[in-house]
Amino acid sequence: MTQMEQADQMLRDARRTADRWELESLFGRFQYYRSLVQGGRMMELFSAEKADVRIDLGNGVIEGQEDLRAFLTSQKPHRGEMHGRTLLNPLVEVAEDRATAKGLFVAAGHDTFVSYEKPDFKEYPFAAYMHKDPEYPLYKMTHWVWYKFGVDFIRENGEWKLWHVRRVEIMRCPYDEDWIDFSITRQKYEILNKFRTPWQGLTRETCGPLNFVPTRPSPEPWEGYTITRPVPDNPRMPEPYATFAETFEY
Amino acid sequence: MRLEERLDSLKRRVQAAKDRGEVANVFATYQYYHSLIYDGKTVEEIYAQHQPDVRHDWGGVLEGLDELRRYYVDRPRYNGKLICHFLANPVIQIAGDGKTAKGYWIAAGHECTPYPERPKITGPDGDPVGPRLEGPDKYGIYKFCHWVWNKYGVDFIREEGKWRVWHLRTSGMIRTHFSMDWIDFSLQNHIDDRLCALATPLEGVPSKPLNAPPTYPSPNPPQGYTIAEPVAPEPRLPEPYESFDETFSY
Repeated sequence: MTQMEQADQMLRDARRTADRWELESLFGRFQYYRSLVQGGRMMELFSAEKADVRIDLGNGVIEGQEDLRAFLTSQKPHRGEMHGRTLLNPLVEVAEDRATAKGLFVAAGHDTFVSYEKPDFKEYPFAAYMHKDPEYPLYKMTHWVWYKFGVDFIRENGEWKLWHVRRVEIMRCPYDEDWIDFSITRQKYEILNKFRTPWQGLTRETCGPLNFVPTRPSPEPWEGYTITRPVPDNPRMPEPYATFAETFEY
Repeated sequence: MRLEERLDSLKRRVQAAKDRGEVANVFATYQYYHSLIYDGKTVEEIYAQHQPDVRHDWGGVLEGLDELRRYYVDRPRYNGKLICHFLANPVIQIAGDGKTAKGYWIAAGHECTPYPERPKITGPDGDPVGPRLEGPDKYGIYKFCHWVWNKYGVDFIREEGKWRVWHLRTSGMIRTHFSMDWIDFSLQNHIDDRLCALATPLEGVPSKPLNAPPTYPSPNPPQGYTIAEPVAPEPRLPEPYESFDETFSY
């Protein structure tokens, strides 16, 4: 190998290594804005050019620039609302051509909603889970929640952007009920949520932010931890690849 | 410094940075496999294939590929079984000669297995969890549902251009039932250990993978949380080193 070829190889390696740390920071920003309920800032992290930008929530996919922006910006923060999302276990693969990259992450965290008034499900997406506090005059939900995120990244005008995000819930439970029992208990809340949804059909006007209208169903639907199935291998682990045509999409 | 020397120095630095990302990916994959109960893949894809002393020390040592297979392959994959040990706080050191690496992580996580009826402790269908089970709960489910934090010290070795796990040492930080603090659990666990010992046949434990007896006892057995001792500085943190003979083994 000539010195020039060696230098070229080093440059490629150095760039792909630097890419990895940029990608971890980019997805860290996504979680930071999520924790603050800043959907507009989350939208800025997505590709502005790809028509198929999307978030797959397991119970539906929000896809396209318009739908994604409407979904993310429809969520407004409430007093006392908090979403802890701490990224763990990063597995990141940058394509050899550096045009795209893939990442798999776990987010350990918690969700909090609190309201002085009896919560309306259009205003509070988890209203069915919010209970009257036995001691204080408020309604609240305090959950542990762990997610896995599979992410396709794309380089756009020299900058890394989010392209496809797939979120799969590992477990969710109230702070005082374990996730095995809650996987059974929560079914009644899901039925309540469906019962409260107008039977004429779902529209953005009649549904709360997370009782959203998906662009299309999820290709691998998943409703969260269950004792009736093994843990799903979803999202899959990325593997080394040369160009995006060789790999799968989240 | 001559151009050749500068290029050589740069090459080593770029390679070490690239290696750091690859080592992180290898151990992240180990944890994703474990969480999916795909441990059988771990022996062939993650562990070193050409080191007679390849080992996992989790309080007893399994050494050699055949011994690791005895422990990892065909681990039971129940409906609802969930293992989450996801990595945080990485401290990674690549050897100056680029042949080995060391890593230290903390995993924040949890584990659970629900059982439709109380499992037997011994025999081919036995489960060593036995006396540690809760239940039956309000839904009639026997289960354990634990918060688990572990520490890991790992030696990696490069084999045929790929990083592999060579020595793995796991040390428990805390483990506790979902709704019990880890101080009380450490006391209860002391009793449960003796109940498990009482339930174990004198002739030795059955050949069930989770009951696998170690190849030899751990030279420095990790204790997990106890109120009787200060927190042990185990596994040790890696420090910069040039070649493996200068440093310690996990």
